[in-house]
Amino acid sequence: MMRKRGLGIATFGAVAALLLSACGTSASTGAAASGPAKAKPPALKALSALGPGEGAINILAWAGYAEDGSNDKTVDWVHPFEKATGCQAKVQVADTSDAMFEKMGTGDFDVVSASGDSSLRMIYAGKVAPVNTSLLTNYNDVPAWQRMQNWNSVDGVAYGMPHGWGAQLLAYRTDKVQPAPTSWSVVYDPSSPYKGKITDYDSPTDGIGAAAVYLMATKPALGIKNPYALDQTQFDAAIALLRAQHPQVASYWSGYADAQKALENGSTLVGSTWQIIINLAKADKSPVESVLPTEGATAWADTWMIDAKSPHPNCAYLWMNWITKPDVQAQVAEWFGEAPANVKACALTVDKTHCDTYHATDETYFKKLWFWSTPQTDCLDGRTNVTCIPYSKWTEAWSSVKNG
Amino acid sequence: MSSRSVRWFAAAAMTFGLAFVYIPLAVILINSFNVSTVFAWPPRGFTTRWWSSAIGNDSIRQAVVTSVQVGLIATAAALVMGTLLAFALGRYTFFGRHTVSLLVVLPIALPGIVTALAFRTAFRTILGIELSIWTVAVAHATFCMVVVYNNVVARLRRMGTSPEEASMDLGANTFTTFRLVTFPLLRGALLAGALLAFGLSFDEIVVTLFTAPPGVTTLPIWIFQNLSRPNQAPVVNVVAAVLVVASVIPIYLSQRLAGDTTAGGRV
Amino acid sequence: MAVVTQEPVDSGAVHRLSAVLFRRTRLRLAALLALPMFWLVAVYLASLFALLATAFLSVDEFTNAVVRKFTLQNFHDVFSDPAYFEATVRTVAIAASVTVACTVLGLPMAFFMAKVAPRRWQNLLVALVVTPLWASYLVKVYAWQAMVQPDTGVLDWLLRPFGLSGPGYGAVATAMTLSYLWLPYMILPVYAGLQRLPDSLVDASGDLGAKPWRTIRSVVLPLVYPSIVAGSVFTFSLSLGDYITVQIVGGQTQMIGNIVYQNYTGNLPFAAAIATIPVVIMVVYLTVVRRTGALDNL
Repeated sequence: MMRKRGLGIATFGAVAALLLSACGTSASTGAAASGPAKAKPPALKALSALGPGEGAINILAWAGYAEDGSNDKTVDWVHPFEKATGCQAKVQVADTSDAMFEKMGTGDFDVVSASGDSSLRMIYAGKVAPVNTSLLTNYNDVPAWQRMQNWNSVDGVAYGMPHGWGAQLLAYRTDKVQPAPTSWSVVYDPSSPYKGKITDYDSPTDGIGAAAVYLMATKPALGIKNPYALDQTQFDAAIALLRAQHPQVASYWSGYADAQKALENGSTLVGSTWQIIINLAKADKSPVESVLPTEGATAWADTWMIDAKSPHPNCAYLWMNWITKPDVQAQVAEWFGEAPANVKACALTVDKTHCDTYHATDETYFKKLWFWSTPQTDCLDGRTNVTCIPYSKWTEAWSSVKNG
Repeated sequence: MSSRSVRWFAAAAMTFGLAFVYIPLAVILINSFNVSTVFAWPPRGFTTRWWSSAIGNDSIRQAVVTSVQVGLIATAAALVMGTLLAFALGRYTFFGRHTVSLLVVLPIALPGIVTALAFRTAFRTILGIELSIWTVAVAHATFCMVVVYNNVVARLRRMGTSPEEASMDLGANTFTTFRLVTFPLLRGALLAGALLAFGLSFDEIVVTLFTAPPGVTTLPIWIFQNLSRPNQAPVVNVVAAVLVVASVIPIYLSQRLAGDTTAGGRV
Repeated sequence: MAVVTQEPVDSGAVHRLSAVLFRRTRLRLAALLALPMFWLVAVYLASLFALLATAFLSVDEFTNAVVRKFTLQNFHDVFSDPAYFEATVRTVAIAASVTVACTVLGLPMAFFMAKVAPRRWQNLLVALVVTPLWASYLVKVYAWQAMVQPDTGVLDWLLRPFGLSGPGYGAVATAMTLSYLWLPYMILPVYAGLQRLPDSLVDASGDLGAKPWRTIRSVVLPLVYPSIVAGSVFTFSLSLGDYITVQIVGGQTQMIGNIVYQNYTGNLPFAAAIATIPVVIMVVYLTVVRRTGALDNL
């Protein structure tokens, strides 16, 4: 009898679940199968004219992009924005691209600083709306080779305002890692002297992509032309490289403060990094340095995008114009350690060599980097004779690698 | 127990245990004065700037207020649900009683991320409602129910039914009996359960992360966001140190009350 | 002896309702259960089932949206990749060792508090044990990170004069930190259970000739066993699903919770499939535990 009641609850639950899942699951808007060649992003309208600010804005940003003085009193470009536009800003920091992807499209946020590994997914899922470039006051100050790229535009429609970009560099402790490394082999070679002290950025796109970049140089026979366009053989090779690396990895970092702490305290000595980590560690008098290895690197280019259901579109455009104007760009670029999209900022940086260090105006350098993009079954390098591994499999594989 | 070896062993375990419990708390306190933002040990130097930064910090105060709000709503709901369940399961025998008692424990027994994802999917995807402070409170109340239930059911068991029966024999109806007889006897257990439930809700992070909208920052979420900002991480230590000290009063209170309700002892 | 007469304070309607309820047990029961059962079943259980049902659906590979297409592929992926089996074994092992550690340390402590310490110290001791619960979970885990850090951690600093070193990041550090976090959840039920244990039983055992350790083994432990199991429900389940602690002190170790967390945005059906593992483990554990009466002792 007791079992009968238990069975009753279970049956009820199962029926409820089936009913709920029938009416509940998030509808996929438009793209039913694979990528851009077959499907189009949903037709959404960009704002036609800029009206007065709505008085509030919700910003979803990477840590370090929307500083309001609470981290360092001298680093604040949010309060001046609020004063100038009247849009009271609520900033939330997202720790991964996946988290950003999940939070957009609901109207909870107005703008997001999307990296290339989530921006295209957001576009195709209808989570972000196209932008009206005539309303973006700084749009034309961004070099043409950063606009209308495959991570921030589709079929000639622009979906965001470029913010800045940077490469995934190789960080190392100058006192413990000698000679200074010039190649990624120091983290991938099983005989590396720094095994057990290696770190890697915790992201499927970057982790597997970086492995593929390394294989492009060390195993050219695999024929990898784009690290985000991997067929089964190439993908398996990249995963095998990562599995071999896994036992030597001390930790995978996702928050830059954790990476900084690990480097400074010596639990990691070498590995993938962002320049801001190096800047902060150096400010703490820690002996660290970064280098772009000879094989090349993966890189990120961030774009401010506007939520399809944004409740404050005018403030959103006001923010996008604010954060990309030359003086604010100079501040952000120096704080975070990236190349500003608006090259007019180069004249305004405190360190006059900033833009040179980050190659902000160097188109050749930019084109050598492999900017994050979303892997799809339609190969990004244009191959039609094979299908490439899509992003959902990348996340599964990355989980599996990290399990050891 | 009169044996010396048993007493000695227990005392040794207690001493080691207390040291084990308090050494990390001491590390937190020391690190709140540590000059280094990456908690390098031993500390190179000491500073009070984290403490002065914490005192003037408005976002901390706001986070505490939000946490208290969520805690109060969740505790109130948990009190009602937990008591109803305690009466139902403690006083009646019915088919499926054991399954229901299992069901009550489930929200706290299942992994936090599963409960969190379930709620998030339910609120956002199935019901289509916006996340708000109420969604957080509903989620918290669901797993806080069980602590109230435990306390009340234990008290009911010890109380027995005789006080209520006597009251009814004297002419009071069910509601009056509850108001004048049962409730006063249950007060201690309810308060102890409420304090435990509030504490659970106050420190909860996983479910809160998944059910809170951007504007709702409870204290654990504030801590979570700030531990990853180099110049804020030591301030978090300050907050934790203050929390521990400030919690002495409610803890002592709850112990006095719970102590009154646990019978037996040195009989 | 004065007889106190109470004025009837009941209005007519309330009195009638009470009479009806008094006669009809089922109605009373239903009235009591309606609200909580609605909450637990319609809100919690249904969302849980809905989440687990997603495990049978597919995902649009490009937009990561869940697509209503039935498939068993997710379960196939979970059960065919040995990495997930290893993760499950590793997680269960950590959860089990945490439970054992909490019992080994918590039982003598609770015994001291309930039976050995002077009566007037009891409240103070319980307060001391419970206080750390109020220092935020995250802060405590970061404190442990500062303690187990290789080379620059507190433990290394303490042990270096003896030529030893701390555990560094990894599964051991994770288990230590989790034991630290959940120790009060083991001590409290055991303490309550020991308090309920009458001293007279212990004295009787001594009178019958048992040495103190024999008494503990044959009288105390069996009676306090349900409380230990009750405490283990907390320590085991909280460790089984934890994903934050292992990220901070576990180095490159990974537990089941991490896999769910990493995959839920990109591939919710797959994450749901993984999530069924700890759910099944816990339901089995609870069902087994129920027989020992531990659920009444939480």
